[in-house]
Amino acid sequence: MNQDNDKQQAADIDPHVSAHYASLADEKTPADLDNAVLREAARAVRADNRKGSFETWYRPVAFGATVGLSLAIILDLSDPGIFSPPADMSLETALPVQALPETTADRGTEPAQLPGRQSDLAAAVSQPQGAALENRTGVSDEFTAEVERAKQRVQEMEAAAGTTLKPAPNAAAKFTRPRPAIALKPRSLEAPFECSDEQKSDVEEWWKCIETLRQSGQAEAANLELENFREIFPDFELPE
Amino acid sequence: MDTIVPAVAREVLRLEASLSMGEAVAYARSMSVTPEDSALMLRYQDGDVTAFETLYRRHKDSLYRYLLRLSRNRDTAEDVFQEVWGKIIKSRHRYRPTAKFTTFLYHVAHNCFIDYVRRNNRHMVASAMDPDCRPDPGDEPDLEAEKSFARQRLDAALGTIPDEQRDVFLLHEEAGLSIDTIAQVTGVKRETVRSRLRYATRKLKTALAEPAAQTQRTA
Repeated sequence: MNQDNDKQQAADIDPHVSAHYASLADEKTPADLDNAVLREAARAVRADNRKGSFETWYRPVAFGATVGLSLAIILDLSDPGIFSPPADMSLETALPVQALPETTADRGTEPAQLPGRQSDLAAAVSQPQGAALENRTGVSDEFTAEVERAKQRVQEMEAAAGTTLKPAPNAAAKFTRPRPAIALKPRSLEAPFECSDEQKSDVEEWWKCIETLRQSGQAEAANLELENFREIFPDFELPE
Repeated sequence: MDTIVPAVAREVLRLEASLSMGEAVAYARSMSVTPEDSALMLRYQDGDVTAFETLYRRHKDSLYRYLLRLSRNRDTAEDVFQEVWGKIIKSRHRYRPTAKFTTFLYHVAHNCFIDYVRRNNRHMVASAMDPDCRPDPGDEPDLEAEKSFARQRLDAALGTIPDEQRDVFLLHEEAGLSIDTIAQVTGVKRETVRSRLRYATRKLKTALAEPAAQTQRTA
């Protein structure tokens, strides 16, 4: 078969033409072209070597880094201090923390499964919210004192005005419960202001504060304060 | 070093003494056999740049002439030449010695040239006679002038035949490929290759037999 092919091939080619071509075709590649190709070949091998040396160390390093990071995260999460509230935590900052675990409780997470401070928090959530708030040392006392102060102020105002300001029957109880409106509404970054506890202790001061908020363009905060104001003092006659 | 050389020499003498004349010749031949292209390519896969250099020097001129005469344009030939070797360098890890390296090389070259022509959408102007790529004339300028004239005639004759026929002729003459391999490289039937080669040879023979003035007019 191969011999047949060779014979056929020989029949298709003229040896004189081939010889003539071979004698004349003697061009060489330019030297710069040779250099360019050989440089590229050497560069490719160098790149391979670099890649090879990189492959020898990057896997163990990547593995070590992953293990190290995982350990760091686990240790950090098991640290009880990570969820403890700051010492000067006010009611407003405490309330979102109260609202947070509700979703966890809805998902049916067992408090015992969570480590350290998290389990305390989950256990607190499983109780009624008011009770949970009272469990926080110092917070319930502060609110009770605040309510007492507000009552006194109202009595003074009644005495001064000669009228009776009737607070809502469950107004005092509301102080001991988290206010869902405050707790659930996210604060906007540009309007973090609200009336201070001192201002809230005085009806007039509170109302002034609300007006100031509204005048300064913080309508959202003003509405929020007004809502709370109306809940506590539903009978207070709002000025025009 | 001093102890190694006599040891090698002694070993050679011992082998020569133990071999018959025929065996000694075969042994000497095997010692001088140059490495196969595929072996060089496999060595280059392993990072041996000198193996690639050997392989490159072995094939560069014939590939360059193939592209030069196929394109009939020096710039195009150089561009495609560099592209072909670049592809071979890049695909070195995928290279498997299932076929001859020459088949692989010219297959890549053939496809690169077709791609180049499609990309640039132009047919190359005949400028293969660029004197820059000619060898040094040496001490015999008259002989070289005569050769240059003959080369012009050859190039002009090659320019008269269709591209496909020229491709087949050059693959046969420059790369030394068989008809079957050319069919494999160009992706056409064996009989088509035979026919193209026959026509190309016949036309070249006719063109080269013509008087010089007539060939120049045709070019």
